[in-house]
Amino acid sequence: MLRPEPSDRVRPRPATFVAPGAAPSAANHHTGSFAGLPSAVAALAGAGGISDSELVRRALAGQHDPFAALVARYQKRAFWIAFHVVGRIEDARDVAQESFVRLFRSLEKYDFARSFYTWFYRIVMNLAIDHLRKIRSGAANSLDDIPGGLADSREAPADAPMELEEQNGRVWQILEKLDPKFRAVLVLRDIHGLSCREIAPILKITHATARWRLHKGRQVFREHWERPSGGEA
Amino acid sequence: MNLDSCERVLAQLDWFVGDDLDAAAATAVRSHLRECVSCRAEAGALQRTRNTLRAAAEAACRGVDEAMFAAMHDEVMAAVRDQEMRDAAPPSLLRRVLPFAAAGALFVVGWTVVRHWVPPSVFDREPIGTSVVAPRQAHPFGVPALPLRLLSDDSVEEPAADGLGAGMMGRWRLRTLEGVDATAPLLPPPVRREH
Ligand SMILES: [Zn+2]
Repeated sequence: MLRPEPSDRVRPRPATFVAPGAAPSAANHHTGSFAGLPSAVAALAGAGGISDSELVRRALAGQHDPFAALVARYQKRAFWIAFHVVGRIEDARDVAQESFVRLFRSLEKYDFARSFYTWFYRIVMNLAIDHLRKIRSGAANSLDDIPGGLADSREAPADAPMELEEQNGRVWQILEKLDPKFRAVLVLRDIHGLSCREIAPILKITHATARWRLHKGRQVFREHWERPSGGEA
Repeated sequence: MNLDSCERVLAQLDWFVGDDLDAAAATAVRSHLRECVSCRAEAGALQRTRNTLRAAAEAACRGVDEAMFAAMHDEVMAAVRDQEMRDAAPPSLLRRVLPFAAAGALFVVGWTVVRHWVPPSVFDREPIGTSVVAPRQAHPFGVPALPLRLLSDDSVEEPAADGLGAGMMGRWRLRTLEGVDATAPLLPPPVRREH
């Protein structure tokens, strides 16, 4: 029997992905410290008693700091989700920034009965997948020609063996080849730890479809991974 | 090990490794794995693939640190303020004037076209029934057009043999009845009485 998954509203599932360099968060989708931000914004962002919905409400009333606090809460998550989908730091920054601008513009459409992060992740995911498709359609940007894929933009710890770096490069190469719809589910479930119940509304698909895509995505990823390196091209 | 139970476990293995099974099902799978070498190997392979993916995703990225996120926050807020100003700003002079300018231009063009146009007089037309209208080339109802002819005595055709003729209005039928009326016995002439 599959584990019954709680609905969004009952319990925001702790994300399993810990952003490198960010303090892990126990029970929230927003991660980490708010260093370098104005103290009022940092205080709002870090206030456990103030929900995301409350911040939206205050932002709608015309205050600036609550929206800045929402950005502080979600910018790392937005960046990392975008990064794992598009695979490039600069692109991920663009996607995250555009997501917040979209969020700001559509703030009054927010349905307070639904969870904020589902709504916001949907914005991020849509933009990231669009961006990925654009990258792939541009022949000049084809990543299939780059040996090692995205390994050049990533840095392994100084003491890490070369092997690990190569391994990570291969993982990114495989992710690059994965259909965006499989990649999106794989990123959200296996990297960011969201449940299929949470993923379904984010991607606007049914729970069954989310599960099928996850299963299929894992299968395709594994097939590529277990293929000898030479057969990866 | 029972092959049937292996098949069942293999079908659940992906969800077991992904921690998506409920406690009872997970316990069943776990106890099977303790006994079955081949299923255990398969579970290990799934687990390793997952770990590899996670490890690659969590590997440090050059330039991604707290400073980058602080800068990103500033950029986002600047973009949002920009957007806010754009939304709040009254439409530019050009955008306000443009609809009126377009309407004015349309009026001038319309006026120049219409100014010298004289509607054709009804007296310029051919009197009705004096001309033979040429057969039309286009037939809106898909039937060949017949040339319209002047309705005169010469052109009136004989009714069909059955006396009913053709035509929706039953004109021939009426004409035939006229003939029938003619053969009906006449009433006797009124008798003049002498007083
Ligand atoms: Zn077995």
